[in-house]
Amino acid sequence: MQSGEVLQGADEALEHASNEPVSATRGYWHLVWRRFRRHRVATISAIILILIYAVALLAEFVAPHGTASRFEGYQNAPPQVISLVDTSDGFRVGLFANGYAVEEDEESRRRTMSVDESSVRELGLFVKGEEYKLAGLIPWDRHLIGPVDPEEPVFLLGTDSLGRDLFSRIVHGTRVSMSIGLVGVAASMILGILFGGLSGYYGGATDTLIQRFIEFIMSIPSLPLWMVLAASIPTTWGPITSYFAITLILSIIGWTDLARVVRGRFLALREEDFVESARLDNARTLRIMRRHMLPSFSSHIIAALTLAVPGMILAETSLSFLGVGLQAPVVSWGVLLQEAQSVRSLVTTPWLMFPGVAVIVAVLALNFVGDGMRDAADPYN
Amino acid sequence: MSELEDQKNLLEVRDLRMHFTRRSGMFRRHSTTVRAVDGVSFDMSEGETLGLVGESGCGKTSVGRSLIRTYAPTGGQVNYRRSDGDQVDLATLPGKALRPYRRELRMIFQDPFSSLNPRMTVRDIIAEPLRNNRTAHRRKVDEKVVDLLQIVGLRADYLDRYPHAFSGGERQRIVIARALSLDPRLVIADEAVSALDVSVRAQILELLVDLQADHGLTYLFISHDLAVVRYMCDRVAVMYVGKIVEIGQTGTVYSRPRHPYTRALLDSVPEPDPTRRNLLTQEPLRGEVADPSDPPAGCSFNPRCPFAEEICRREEPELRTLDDGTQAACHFAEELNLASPGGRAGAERPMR
Repeated sequence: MQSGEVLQGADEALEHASNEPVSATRGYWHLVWRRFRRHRVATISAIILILIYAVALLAEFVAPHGTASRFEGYQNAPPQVISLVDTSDGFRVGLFANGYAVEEDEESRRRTMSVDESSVRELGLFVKGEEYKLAGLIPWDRHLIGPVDPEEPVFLLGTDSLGRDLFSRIVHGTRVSMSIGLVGVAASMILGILFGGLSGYYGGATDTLIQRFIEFIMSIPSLPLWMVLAASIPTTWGPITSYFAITLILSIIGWTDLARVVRGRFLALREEDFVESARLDNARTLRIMRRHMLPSFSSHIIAALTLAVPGMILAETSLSFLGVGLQAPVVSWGVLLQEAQSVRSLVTTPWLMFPGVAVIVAVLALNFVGDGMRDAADPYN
Repeated sequence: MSELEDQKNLLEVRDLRMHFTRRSGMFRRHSTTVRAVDGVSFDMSEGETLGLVGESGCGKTSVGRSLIRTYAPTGGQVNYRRSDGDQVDLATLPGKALRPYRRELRMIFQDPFSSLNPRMTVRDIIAEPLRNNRTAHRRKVDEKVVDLLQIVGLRADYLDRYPHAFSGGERQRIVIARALSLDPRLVIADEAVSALDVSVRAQILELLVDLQADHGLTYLFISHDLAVVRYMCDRVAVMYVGKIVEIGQTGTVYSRPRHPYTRALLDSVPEPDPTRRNLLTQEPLRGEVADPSDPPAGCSFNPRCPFAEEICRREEPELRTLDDGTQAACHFAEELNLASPGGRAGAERPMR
């Protein structure tokens, strides 16, 4: 058969095609990745993000203790600094931290803890500790870092007023805080692409209707709306249900921005010759949208989504901080920050602000990655 | 026209109108109607190439787009003769019923850079119409794509390349392969070579001519390039402000134009022969192209026509057949002798 020979010829030709410019057959995503890597800050941020999400996934393993483990006698303990050598008794290399000293004020009867430089506690990697189920499945008792002697605990970021290890709680909070952004953005993405796509592809009255609706939603002050909606979540709902309720509430406003991005792209692409030609090829409307239009700006969508995640995280943090978001015993960065609300706690236990640092790092990293994605989105220009 | 001749016509366009309404002002109270195509009629017989020429904005692209129905014409008929001999009016068919004809009437776009999806490989681009119309069996699609690539003169190992790796000429070959994939009968080439380098242009034109011979294609060749049209087309139609002002055999129209506008167009082509360098001696066409939303009374060309008389400002000339078979819409088509450049020297019109 003649066409069979032709195909064979194609295979042979492919073999010596290796001396052609690589980009000719490399897909779009390859080019995007190459452009993205040139963006130094974005690349570093991407690595940080991957680490943060790894921590979220393996929270039980990374954290030395559980979220609810209280240490009697260690309330409001200040953070300890890890040193690599111990010189108190000869010279040893390892992970070490100082012990604690307790002072009791005679008048106010208040106990204050301070770092006791004379005593040394040893830390270890992969130490035995509390039992847990890794990712909810695999039972294990090893922790990435922890005190060698369980009777001599070490608190890297201090403890709160109930004697719970703040570092462990921040690590556990990563899971909720970082995933609420993703889940919320996923919900906004579905709404945004659907309404933005309809608006941009059909135009006319559909467009006007959807755009006015979006403007209406955007005109509602978001914080009060969130607070009203969040406050109306029944207290009888379990932590998982209210978690999803909160993400839905956040995405009620979050989808509008994405819908605008998608609409603009659809409007511009609708007039492109290659979309026109797909129409003339008898492609169905859904196929045109999915196969011919969406791929042209999927990277823009990803950039917009990445830039939307920090908004979600901040919103969750604000709501939880104000006490209408997630509630204890659920641990999120916002819930943790709630304890840093009073001026007194700021003065006596400033380390309770550390969850805020986690929020800042995560939000900045997401923003940089989003920026990098946006720049890399058009590799042909 | 006799019944027998009528049978050969693949396409009969009758009084085609494409008016765009533009609303402006507060609450869109004011509307202006742009008559992009205003009563265009022509026939195309099977296997011929009809050229459609005119300045930009004269409505030639709108004619093409109305025929393949990316625009819905506001009036007139586009009678298309199906392969079984029946005639259908494409101008009024609803979208669903158009689907089978979209396979037979194909379009080659002007800009090969925007008409290929940058995210799809050549394989997917050419296979797309085959898949959408289920004309080839799933497993045969690849073979067909390779065949098409070879037909348009591209190497089969380009299959997995993306459009950005090709030159303009190669891209246009891909566009042509896509147009051919459904075995069309009528191909509308809208400025198909205008975006290409001159050297590449000749190759693509050659390809189009070969394909026409091999596949029995009928071309509607839309262009502003008179040299290209002369090379490609059996007949040529000259458009001015939404109307055909002259239509006839290419050789006849080029050697003896009957409408002053055709003369002016021909004069504007730079002459490669330095001894006949006409740009320096010919006065360029005066005035501006008429506004299609507000055309002048009478003949649209009258404000720019060197031969305009009172009647031209009053009455709109009909397109009428002349002794040599050319049709022209000019009150003085019989009297003017426009055979030589400028037309003025030979103008033998008795003064009235």
